Amino acid sequence: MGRWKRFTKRSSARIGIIAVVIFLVVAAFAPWLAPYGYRAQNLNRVLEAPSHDHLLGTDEFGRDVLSRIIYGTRISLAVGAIAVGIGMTVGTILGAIAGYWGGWMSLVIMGLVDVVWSFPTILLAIGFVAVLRPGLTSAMIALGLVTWPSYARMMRAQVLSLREKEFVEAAKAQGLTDTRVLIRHIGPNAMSPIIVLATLGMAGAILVESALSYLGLGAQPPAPSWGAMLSSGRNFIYRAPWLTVAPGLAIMFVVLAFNLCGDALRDAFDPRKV
Amino acid sequence: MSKRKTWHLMLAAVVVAALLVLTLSAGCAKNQAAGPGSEKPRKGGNLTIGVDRETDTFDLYQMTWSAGQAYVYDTLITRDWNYKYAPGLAETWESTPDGKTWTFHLKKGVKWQDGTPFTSKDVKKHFEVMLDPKTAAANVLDYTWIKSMETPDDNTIVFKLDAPFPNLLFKIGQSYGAIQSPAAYAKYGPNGTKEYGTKIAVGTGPLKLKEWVPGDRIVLERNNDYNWGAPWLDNKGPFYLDTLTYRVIPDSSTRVAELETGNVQVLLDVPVEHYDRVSKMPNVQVFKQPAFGLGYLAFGTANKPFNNPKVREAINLAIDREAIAKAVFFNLVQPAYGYLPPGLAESYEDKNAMRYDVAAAKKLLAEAGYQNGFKTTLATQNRTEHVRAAQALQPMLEAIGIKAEIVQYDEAGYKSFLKSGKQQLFMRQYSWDNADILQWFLESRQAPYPGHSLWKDNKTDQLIATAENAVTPDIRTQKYIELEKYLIDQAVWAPLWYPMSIQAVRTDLVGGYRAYPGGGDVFNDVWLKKATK
Amino acid sequence: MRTYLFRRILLMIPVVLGVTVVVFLIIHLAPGDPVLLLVGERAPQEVYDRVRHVWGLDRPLIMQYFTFLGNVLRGNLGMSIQMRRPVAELLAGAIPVTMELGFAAMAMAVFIGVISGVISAVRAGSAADQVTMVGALLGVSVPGFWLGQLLILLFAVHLQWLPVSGYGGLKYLILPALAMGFADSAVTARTTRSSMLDVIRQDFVRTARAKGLGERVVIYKHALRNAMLPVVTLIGLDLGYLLGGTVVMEEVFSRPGMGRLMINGILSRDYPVVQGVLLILAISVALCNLLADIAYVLLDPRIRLQ
Repeated sequence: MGRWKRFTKRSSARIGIIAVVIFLVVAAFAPWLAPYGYRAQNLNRVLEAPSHDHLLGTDEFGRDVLSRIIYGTRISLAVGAIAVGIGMTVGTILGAIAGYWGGWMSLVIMGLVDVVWSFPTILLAIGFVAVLRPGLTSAMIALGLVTWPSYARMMRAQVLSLREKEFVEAAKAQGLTDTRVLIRHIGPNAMSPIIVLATLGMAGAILVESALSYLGLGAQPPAPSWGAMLSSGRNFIYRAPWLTVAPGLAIMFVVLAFNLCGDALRDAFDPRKV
Repeated sequence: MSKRKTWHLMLAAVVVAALLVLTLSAGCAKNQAAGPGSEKPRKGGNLTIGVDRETDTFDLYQMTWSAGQAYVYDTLITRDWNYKYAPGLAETWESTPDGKTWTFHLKKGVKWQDGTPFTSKDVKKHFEVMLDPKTAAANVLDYTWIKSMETPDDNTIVFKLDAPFPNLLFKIGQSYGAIQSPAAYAKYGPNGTKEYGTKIAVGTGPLKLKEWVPGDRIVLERNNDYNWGAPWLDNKGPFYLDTLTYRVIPDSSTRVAELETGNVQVLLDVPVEHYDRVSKMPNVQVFKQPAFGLGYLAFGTANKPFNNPKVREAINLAIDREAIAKAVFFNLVQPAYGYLPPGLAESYEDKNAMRYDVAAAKKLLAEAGYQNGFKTTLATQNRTEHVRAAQALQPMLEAIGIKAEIVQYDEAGYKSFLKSGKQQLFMRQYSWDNADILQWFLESRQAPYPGHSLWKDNKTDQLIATAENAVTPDIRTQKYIELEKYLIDQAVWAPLWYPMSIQAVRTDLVGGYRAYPGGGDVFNDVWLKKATK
Repeated sequence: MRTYLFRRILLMIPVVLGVTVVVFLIIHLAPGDPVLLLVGERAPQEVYDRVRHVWGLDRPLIMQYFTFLGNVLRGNLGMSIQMRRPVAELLAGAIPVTMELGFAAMAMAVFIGVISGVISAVRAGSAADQVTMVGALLGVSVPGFWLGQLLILLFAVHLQWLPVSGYGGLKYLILPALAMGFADSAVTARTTRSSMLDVIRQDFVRTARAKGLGERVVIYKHALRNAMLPVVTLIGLDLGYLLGGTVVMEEVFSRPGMGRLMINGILSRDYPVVQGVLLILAISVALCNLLADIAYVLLDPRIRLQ
């Protein structure tokens, strides 16, 4: 596969892939990797600074921060993947339909996009979660439901400009059906900004989940969501800064990893690149 | 290729290191030299208090959240530095031996902030409007004991009652019992321009409502006519301060940072998480004292399995209250073994009934038929310390086999949830300085809201009725203690902690601040040592 | 162009109507009761019922919706339940606060984002490119409220150069705009770079180069103009993000803007406030999208208006 080679040729991609794989492994083997349970409290050893026993210190319940970070990988990856998955799937399909066929379908879809887009993401997510019932599943669904319009708009813009291109005209002239032209010819060419968006969407999803958790609408305690850890650690930013440093960096690194991968993927998918 | 990789790593490392340094350095604040300040009260300036939320209204009929109203409005009687009843707008008062007629003699020369004289007719009219169903006053039940009022002259008001009511002085002295101008209310209230409480408020207090920017600040300014301050105040005349500002700063870390930089000079509610930091600030004095209140784990006592007193008793025994006080509140609360805070005369504690005894708890649970435990929910409002307390409770409950899933609600959602009557275990805290809080939450007719515990019990009702209509306060106290013993026996709640009031004052900028019982605030004697930002 | 504009503005009407329906349903379906908050725990049932009736909350939902709609058409956004003031008055106070921050953050994002995006595209692979892109990667991954708090710690508490929080002038604007604009400029930079790289590789740029035009002219006159398409779309889309961002920043920096107004409205189920704020937001976002689309057309005449 040429694309795969092009993809892995770049060292930033390799770093990204390795990092993502590490996060996946950590998530899969969390119970074996974590030195303690994520909910094991020790009320006699709260807010301890990093030490030999607790490499990243302990939180306000004497729980091992490292163990919670390790278990938290599962939540963050799941939130990111499912929220982005829902948003991207819905958005891309609707955007492609709107862009390719236009007409009243485009009007309806883009009208819907405008309606959803008129709300700040976080507020609409709060609204959805409030209706659904606070919890992680609701948060993921809500995030998907509020993020799809960005994919739809981007996809539509891409399809609009691509459908005038010669190679598309050529494909049509060969007698291919619209669906086929859309999937085989326009789709791959339209994907690169979508992938850039999706990688950023992972970041966004994880960050919005942290805001939802802060408001008590995301993962419910004692689930070790990084967002929730960051939010609750915020209260101790003066006396126990490691509580915010660890999840903050964890979020940063996982997003970084996906961004590196996304960039490289973008280059690899781009057929115009020699 | 390797150059590129190195760059990435180096940059990432630098940024990460910078962030780390930034965060860790937060622990060591820059020291500020205390400025020279006069020790004699000085007139002028603006003092800013940082608060987490603003009050709802300055209309006393609708007010549910008091902050600043106490300076705009006066009460007939006040509570002094020892929380004893003392004169306010009323100089003296007496009651007939049957406890059914109370006469208050008002001070002379008191004026409303609009310049008109304050008379006993205003007091009468004020309470009449409050009791009028059309007003829909939020606190009307506190004053239904008033059967009629008489005003023999401009400076005498007489309250007539059907039955003795020893708690009357409390009701007259609480902030909800302050008097607002009936004339102004008629003109600007719901039947007038509807600006009463938000733009206009007329009281007899030492500060006037000057400006209210919603969500941002409330500015109160000095009432220069004021000279009828309570006898226990050093300064019975006008305020030293030109203005007193309540600034709304919802984020607790930001609030603490504003105190540190001096933009805010007083915090009335330092969160326990920040106590350590605030107490180490060089120019800040911390006032720490017991507040009137109780944090408790409540049961939906009408719902299975919490309708079984043995289950409730078992849970009471499964909780390590000391550990919660220490871990969740850093010992900035008192572990609670009773239903009323120790500052009240009616307080009664039973440390044995609420001891930490897992074996006994398990035994009781088995007797109740739950030897294998059960699953339930633990609801809480998303206030940080309650969520933390719930998390600390979770493993304690699990130790006796109760698997409780935590469910958080925002304030509005929580109230509706409690009103629905579906609650199992839930976290509550009350802040109230009178034993009648038990009547409020546990009398049968109050269920399901605000009687969220769904407690319907004849004996409780009888004990409350005899206490509230006792002829003297002493008998009332005895009856309430009897009630508390009964409630502890029935394990209606699981009391957890008595909260503390933690206030912080920039003493390099502010002079004359004194701690007031229960964590109240008194700014009449307070002055600024130098101009504030 | 004129008919296009007219059609677009006409199309905004169903969108705004759709927004009012969605808002109305969500806020009313969310469990919670504004009256319980309003009257407090000490009010008897009769008081509760009366207050509920006064606010018209005892009427069927559909009736409440049409009352709301009718009032809006007459230019009346209603009264806030919790704050006891006309919603229009609250908005008049909050809108400038939010707009100020939104524009400052967006200006910063566009300025920093476009410049650094172009530089790193033109010098793809260089040290400058690496610095920019790693900065951008970190920018999108730092949680905004955390960054805001770190900025407060550094610039307000330690250095005491700028105020911690509040509203009223440029010095109060810098930190929140920085905290908000950072993440956004990162997104802009990434999009600019990616789009520039696409354009630079295209035929007409090669042609321009082949014609012997100077690199500067090629980049800024030919490439940048075409590369701005996705960036302009993004900026238009960003408005929603920025307004969402102000919610968090207004909380951290205690600015009495629309975000705070709305969060408080949601938390206290203050239906008129939430409906009013979101209606105004929706209209302004729709207008901005329209502007973005117009800019899109102006930048790329090849796109036909439909």
